[in-house]
Amino acid sequence: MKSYSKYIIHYCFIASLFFSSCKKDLLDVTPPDQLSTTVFWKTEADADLALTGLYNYLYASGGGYATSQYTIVSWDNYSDDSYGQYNYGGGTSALRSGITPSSSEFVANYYVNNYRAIAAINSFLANVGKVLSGNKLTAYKGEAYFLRAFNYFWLAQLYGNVPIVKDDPFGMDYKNGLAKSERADVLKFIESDLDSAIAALPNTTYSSGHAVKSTAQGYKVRVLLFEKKYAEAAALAKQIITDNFYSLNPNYASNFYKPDQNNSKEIMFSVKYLLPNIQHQDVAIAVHLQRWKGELGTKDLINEYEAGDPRKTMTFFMPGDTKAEGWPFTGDLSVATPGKDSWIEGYYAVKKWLTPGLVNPDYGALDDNDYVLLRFADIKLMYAEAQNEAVGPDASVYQQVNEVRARPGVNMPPLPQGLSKDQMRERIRHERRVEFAMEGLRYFDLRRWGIAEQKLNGFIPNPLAPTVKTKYESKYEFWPIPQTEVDRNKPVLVQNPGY
Amino acid sequence: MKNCLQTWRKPFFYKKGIIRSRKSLRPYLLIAFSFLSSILYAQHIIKGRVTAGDSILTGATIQVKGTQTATQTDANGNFTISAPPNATLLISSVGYGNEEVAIGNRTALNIQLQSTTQKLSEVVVVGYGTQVKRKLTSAAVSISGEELNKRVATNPVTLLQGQLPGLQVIQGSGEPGNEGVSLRIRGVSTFSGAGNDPLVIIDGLPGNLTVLNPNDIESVTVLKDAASAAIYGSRGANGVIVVKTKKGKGAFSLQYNYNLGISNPTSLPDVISNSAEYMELSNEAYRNSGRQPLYTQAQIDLYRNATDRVKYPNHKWLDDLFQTAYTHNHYLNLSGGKENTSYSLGLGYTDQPGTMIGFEYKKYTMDLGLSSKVNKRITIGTNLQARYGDRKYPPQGSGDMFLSTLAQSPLYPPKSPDGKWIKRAYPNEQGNKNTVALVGEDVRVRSDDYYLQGNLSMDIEILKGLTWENRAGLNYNSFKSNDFRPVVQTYFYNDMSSAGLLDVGTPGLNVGRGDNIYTVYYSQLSYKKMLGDHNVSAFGGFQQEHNQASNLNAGRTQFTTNLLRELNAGPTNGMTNNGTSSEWAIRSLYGNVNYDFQDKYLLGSSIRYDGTSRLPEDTRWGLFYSFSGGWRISKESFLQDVRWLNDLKIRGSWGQLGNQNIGTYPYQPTLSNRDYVFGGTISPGYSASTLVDPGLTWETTRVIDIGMDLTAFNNKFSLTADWFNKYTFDILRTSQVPLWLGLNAPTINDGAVRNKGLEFSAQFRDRIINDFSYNVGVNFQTYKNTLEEYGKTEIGNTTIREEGHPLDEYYLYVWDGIFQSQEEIDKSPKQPVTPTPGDLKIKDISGDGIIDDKDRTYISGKYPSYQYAVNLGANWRNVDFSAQLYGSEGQKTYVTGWGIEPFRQGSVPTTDWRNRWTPTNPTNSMPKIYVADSYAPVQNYRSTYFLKDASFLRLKNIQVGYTLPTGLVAKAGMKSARIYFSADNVKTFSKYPGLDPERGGDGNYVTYPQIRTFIFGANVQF
Repeated sequence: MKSYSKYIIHYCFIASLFFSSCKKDLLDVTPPDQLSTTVFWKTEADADLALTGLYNYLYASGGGYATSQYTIVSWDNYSDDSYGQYNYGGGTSALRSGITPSSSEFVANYYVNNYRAIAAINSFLANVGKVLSGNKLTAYKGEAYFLRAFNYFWLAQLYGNVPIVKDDPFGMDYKNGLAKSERADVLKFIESDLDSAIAALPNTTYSSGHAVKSTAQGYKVRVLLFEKKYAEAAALAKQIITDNFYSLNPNYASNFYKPDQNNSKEIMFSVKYLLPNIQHQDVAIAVHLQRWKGELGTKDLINEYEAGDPRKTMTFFMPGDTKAEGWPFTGDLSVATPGKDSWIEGYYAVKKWLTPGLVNPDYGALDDNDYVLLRFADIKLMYAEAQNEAVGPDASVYQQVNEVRARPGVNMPPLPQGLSKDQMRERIRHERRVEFAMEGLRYFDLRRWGIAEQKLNGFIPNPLAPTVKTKYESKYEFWPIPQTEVDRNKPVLVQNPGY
Repeated sequence: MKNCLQTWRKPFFYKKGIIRSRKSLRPYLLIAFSFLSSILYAQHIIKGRVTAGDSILTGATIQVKGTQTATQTDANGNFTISAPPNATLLISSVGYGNEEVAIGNRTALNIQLQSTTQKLSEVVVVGYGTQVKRKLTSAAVSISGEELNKRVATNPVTLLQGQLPGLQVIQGSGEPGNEGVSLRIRGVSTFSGAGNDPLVIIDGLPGNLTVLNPNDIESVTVLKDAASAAIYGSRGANGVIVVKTKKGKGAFSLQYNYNLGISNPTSLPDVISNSAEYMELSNEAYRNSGRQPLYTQAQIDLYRNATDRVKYPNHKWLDDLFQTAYTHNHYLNLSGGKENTSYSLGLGYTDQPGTMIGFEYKKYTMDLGLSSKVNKRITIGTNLQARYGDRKYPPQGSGDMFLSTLAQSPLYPPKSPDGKWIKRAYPNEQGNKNTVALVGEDVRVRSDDYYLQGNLSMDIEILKGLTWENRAGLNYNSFKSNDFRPVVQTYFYNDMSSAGLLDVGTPGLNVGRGDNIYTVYYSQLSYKKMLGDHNVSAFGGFQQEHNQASNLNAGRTQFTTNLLRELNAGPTNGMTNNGTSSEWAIRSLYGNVNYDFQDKYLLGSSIRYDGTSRLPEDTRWGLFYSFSGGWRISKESFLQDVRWLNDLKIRGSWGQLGNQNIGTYPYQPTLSNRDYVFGGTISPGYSASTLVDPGLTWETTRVIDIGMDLTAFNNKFSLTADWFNKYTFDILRTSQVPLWLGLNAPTINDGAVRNKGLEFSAQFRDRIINDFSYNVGVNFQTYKNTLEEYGKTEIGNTTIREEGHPLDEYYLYVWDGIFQSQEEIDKSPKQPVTPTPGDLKIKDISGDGIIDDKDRTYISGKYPSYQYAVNLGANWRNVDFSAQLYGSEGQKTYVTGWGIEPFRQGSVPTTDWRNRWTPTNPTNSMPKIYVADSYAPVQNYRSTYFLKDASFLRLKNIQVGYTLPTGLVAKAGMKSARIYFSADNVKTFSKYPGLDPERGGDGNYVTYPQIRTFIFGANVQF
């Protein structure tokens, strides 16, 4: 019996040894590859890390298939400029069957993208003061204000009335939901953020990828135009022009591919990519645009080009093009032929954004063209538009439009003198359409001009298929708030009218 | 006689074995009588008695081995037979295992037979130990390896289907090595990331069931209620499956099994393969969808009138995708025991090609069980299972293979006569990747999966009844993958012009390495004591688990050749890599007490205290416990007179279980890496994007179970029934945050789900004439699921989470026929799209004259109303027969896309579309044909049009076996030999269109089809 008690004593001993010898922290594990937020916001370097993190939201995914929201070429699928045969960006389904609060994921996608970025920005603004001070703090905050305005402007343009969130999301009480604000109030908020940014950002040329003062000014011109504050818009655009940081790139096409765009004095804001590690979302743009022809220009857009406007062939391939015209395919595809290799007859294959010299781009092709979101040419044409609306077609209006038309390599003749204000407006609208084709501006231009329904509803994208018509209702001026958002903010957040 | 019976029923013993009665003199008399007889006859007269557990066996057959001499036991289980000295008797009885007894020079024998299924003294493997079945107070069902292996399958999990009431087994696909089997014990009880998968215990420690070779399994027990699973505390909420692998015993035995399986898909959609018909339907669909038709009349005529069917084929792509697959299964087992050591070694090899081209699986298994009693108090043992899985599969998976094949028109073959891969016939056709080219160019992932699970045990008997058990286990999993995508040119068939690269994604190579190490250790003391009428058993212990996983992946692109598939063969430019690791740990203290009085009143209780690394320090410890009780009514004196009743027990249990299997670090706020390019270099960036709840704690499941077990009619009939009420609360869920918050929602404790249900199983076995015996088993389960707490209603694409309704109940527009005319459209409620005649008509549920979001409604069918299985068996002389029917009733699935919708990416319509709506065929059962690519009048609504009845009844298996006569096999040096023919998934009755109704859930209509297999096999024992 004694020996058995010994066993028991042994057991107790071993068991106690086991308990005590176990690492105390066996149950205290932390993620081995992710920093804890508790160690962040301790040094100045954290401000840089966090600021970089804010720009990363420019790589956010898109609607439809997996391109980015800022693969802006896809936005033309929403307009009369292009047809998205694979529904990139969600434009095709939006135009074919309309937009509903729960229809195709793009309605929710863009909304979520922007609010995610805004959350990070708000958190940045709430914390950056812990590690920075003085001018540096002001400058860093300036970038954050610009990015917040940038994101809210997307929301304001698409959905119009949205909740305004300015506080650190980690400290917010979100249980009771939030009502949306009127589009006008959202725009007011955007303006004030842009003003803060303009005051704080360095007064220099955009190049590294960081927003500068002129970037914020350029976006403010857009906002003011959207608000129809023409005089203010014209004044600010004029200031950018006279500040003389930018000039039109003498080679129009080289704004859109690497490495030439690195040296373009025309680019005022862009989404930056860098091979080999930061590549375009999904596939290289040459694959989705040129090989798969995910976007195809409409006959309507091609007809918009004036005779002899070289921007037509700088933006699109024509049937019969070969290597001489930059057609990238060889072998039996060496001659551009509608109906071949996913080129739908009745449309035009896109040339813009294609890096010259790329041969047979296909799966695995690599390119890292920056997506250009704001060009100096836009400032000039926005000036012209604003000035024309505010004052009328004075000489400065002519000058800015004509300079865009007279860019080397484009060399289009000046506008005829003696245009009325209305005629000038039409000329400027025309100029914007051809200058910025396949740059994602058309849909937003049509909407702010109030002619989206007139132009798009019943539009026949392909004259060879006249029964296929697009659908656009006036209520789309305000996209629906995603159904999930309405559900989660009941009853304070109500849907936009008409949905 | 009555008295005598009573005497025989009363005694109970811990050990199975010879039954002795303290009171009856009968055995002694028998012995004396036999002794006398042996003197009188040259042949010995052997007398004896056959019993099983507490019961005598009447009508058991006793045969002198190798002769025709045979007899049967009488009503008292007694027999008399004459046999030469040193002969061997073969004893058999329906429902019991056969026994061979060497007579030696004995003349009186007491023979104990083991029931093959319903044995009261049967030992059931439960948590951290075993329990005699009659003493069970919890809801646990088990099945023997022998029963399980009546069907033949390569994955043991699939064999569990229809065998154990309360366990729902859904086999998602027939893909070799990737069957997608989902196991649900008593329904879906949570919507949290913690999941609904039960815990699998192999030889006492958590492990992986698919690793095993089915032949190595000795028994499988499912612990369904809290009383049985609470001992597994934190990990038992979804029930526990306890598996015991084989141990050797007795003389050396060598067993070899072989079978050949011949498989084909159970059913495939019947698609249109006539090119001209396809083209005309396509044009009609394009016109109906307001789009430009693809084919000119001239092209259609080319195909219609062609005499050159090579140039203008009517190609059947599905015939290219599917093949007859031949599966070979080899299994070798060596087992035995000598002195104090027993051993069992099982080796298995399975070669299983897919019925879909491109899929291959080879599985090598080893199972080693060793146990040695090193001295009279110490037993050491080990169990070791190893598996090597060698799998090849197309990278996008079987669903993509299937839908891509359907997206090929019949207008062209996969390969031109001169060996070029074809993309389409014409450039304007829609389509998807050429799957035959994919397999032809070996675009397949090679996956190697090494898995080892093993444990060492040492049991020390400290005192009589007091045992100290120690068990340490290790599961090690290592996997490798090599995914190479070559550059393959494709062509258009009409003019053989080039059509770009085969869609394999980005060409290049990705390789992955991963490993997972799980260690577990427990040490427990267990104690058993019998004090007169009181029986007590108890155990308590400590357990610690730790898991560490890591992975490493690397990739390169732009290979200059398709011939090499290693990283160094590719350029370094643009190469990528990533890798990480994670770990978790659980520590637990547990204990269990069982008590019974006179084997009549039974009580049990379990307790477990768990701490997990997944939860914050202050809330990581959870206490789980259960209580249960049973009453063996048949032991009461007032039932002693009921002779037909062998045993009747009612039992009940209550307890709480935990669940914590969410992510690895759900409460820890972290930063995500967010880089950006500035000034031509990549700058590192971070941001926090997830909310966390620092007060996170356990998800808890509370189960009430009331059950009964009944055995009657001389053990011929048995019945087990259970009612349960399973309530899961504090569900670990992702909370709902508004989108404007811009953060990932935190994991929180919120929400509750209840499952109430009923399950029973019944068995009957009997013999009609001497040579013919049969058995019938039925089992049935049903449950009702309710989401009791959720917060704000959340409407998904096709489902809703709303309190008071089943979790994820369907929430859809109701399809109400087809618009027959413009007039009907004008009269009907305003649809949100602009329908034309032939489009779907949606019902105005709210009655407000407009179809909008308010017209969606609750539709039942997310969960089966009930499931059932019928098992039949029969033996006639050396021939055995078994069959299993399995049915699931009431579930529906929402399926869309390729195969069920026409012209999704150009996919071929099924022949059903010949009955489509047309102005001249005003049907109400199908719309007009359309292009299923955002065709708003059909696809804009998630309607009941796409909800299909997936109820089915399946003849799951039939098997006929023949055991070769012993005399014959003995000549070949064998102990026994059996050959059999088996057929799996023989026939399915269902209203589900086209494909097999058993599938993993909603989504794309096409998934890897279930397979029908004909199996020829042999088992030989030496």
